[in-house]
Amino acid sequence: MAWIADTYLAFKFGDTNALGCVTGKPVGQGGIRGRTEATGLGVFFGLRELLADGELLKKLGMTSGMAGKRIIVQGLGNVGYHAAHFCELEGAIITGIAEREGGIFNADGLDVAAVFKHRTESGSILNYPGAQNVAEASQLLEYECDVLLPAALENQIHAGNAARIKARIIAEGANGPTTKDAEKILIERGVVILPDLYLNAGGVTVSYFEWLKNLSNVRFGRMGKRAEEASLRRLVSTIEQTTGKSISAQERELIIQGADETSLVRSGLEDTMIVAYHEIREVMHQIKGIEDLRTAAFYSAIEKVGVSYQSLGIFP
Amino acid sequence: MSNTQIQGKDFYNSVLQFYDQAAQFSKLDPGILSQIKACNSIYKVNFPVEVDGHVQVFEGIRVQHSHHKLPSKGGIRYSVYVDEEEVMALATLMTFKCALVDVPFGGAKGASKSTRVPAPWKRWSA
Repeated sequence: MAWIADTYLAFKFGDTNALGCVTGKPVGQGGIRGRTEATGLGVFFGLRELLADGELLKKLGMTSGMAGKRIIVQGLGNVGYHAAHFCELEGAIITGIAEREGGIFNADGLDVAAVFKHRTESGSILNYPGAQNVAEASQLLEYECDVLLPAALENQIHAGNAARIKARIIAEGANGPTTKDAEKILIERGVVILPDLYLNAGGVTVSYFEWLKNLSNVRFGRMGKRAEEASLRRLVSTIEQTTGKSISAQERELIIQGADETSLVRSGLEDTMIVAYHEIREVMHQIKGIEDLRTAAFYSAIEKVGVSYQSLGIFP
Repeated sequence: MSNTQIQGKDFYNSVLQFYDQAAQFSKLDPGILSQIKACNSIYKVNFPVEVDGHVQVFEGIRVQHSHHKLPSKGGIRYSVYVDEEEVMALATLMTFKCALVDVPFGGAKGASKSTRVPAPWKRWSA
């Protein structure tokens, strides 16, 4: 994306906001730390929020928490890879990964980073040590699991396979992986769908942060990080003096840590995903007749756009 | 997992149906609801580029779904298979995605289409 910014800059010489014309730039060219994994991390935060939602989980007959949940991922691109990776770190078991050339399955779990390395080196996801090959990748979507995470293309779950999907939760990392017809079948069967417009919004959210960074022409954390650390250092010293006990250098380092750009971006993203989830759930509680997350998400968004038109009018 | 023209149409139809499903619960004026649903502008350009010594025509599509907040925001798809309706669907989703998570942008999406993928695309989209 740097070349787009560069071209724009050439025509807008002297415009200090010019770098904000495009996002997803490399960090050295006005990009932001944390953008690469943003969508996948957002998917993780959204799924984690659902897996802490006692009311919905009760209907699904599932226990709360990410740990031990079996997840099948379609697509090992930017979104699928990072989403699977963060879920794995939180204790989820990635049992299957589907890609263009086929899929792999291992009920005991796959090491996402190792699978990625295997695919990069061998040119194919197939023949990963210890995993079973699934020649037709789309078949893998119908395997037994708790969460199905489509993170590739649209129209992957359609009227033709929806009835055979065994996952209880579909987490839409991709845009439009579930068709309207498929959704009808899935909802009738009590499957919960975390909709694309919510779940993969982490990408545009961090792009927004990048835009803010470009408009302010300063790296996030540059002003506050050291002040925060100094304050924490004073706090630790006071505690040590008061109690007469000292803490180890390792503990001190862990406590005295000001927020840098990566942690601020992740914090903003986490808050965004948590707040939006509860707004969606609030719609489901407030509006009679809305019983699924997608309709609730669309409703919430439509009302917000509607408020803009009401306060600004339709002109110009 | 290849994508075809028919799928772009299906995708856009799905998005519109999801919209209608939610809009029926809204108390907003029906006229405003139609305005919120429609793609505000669609720009298309065809332009020649010399790639590896051969002139090749590229089709550029830019859909701005909503101008209720500006700028409008959305990525670019570099693909052989992309079509106008797929871009419309993605632009529509962007509007509601941004609104949902309080990102103050309108929704948009772009695409650059060619009969074959030139090598630089891999680099550009990185």
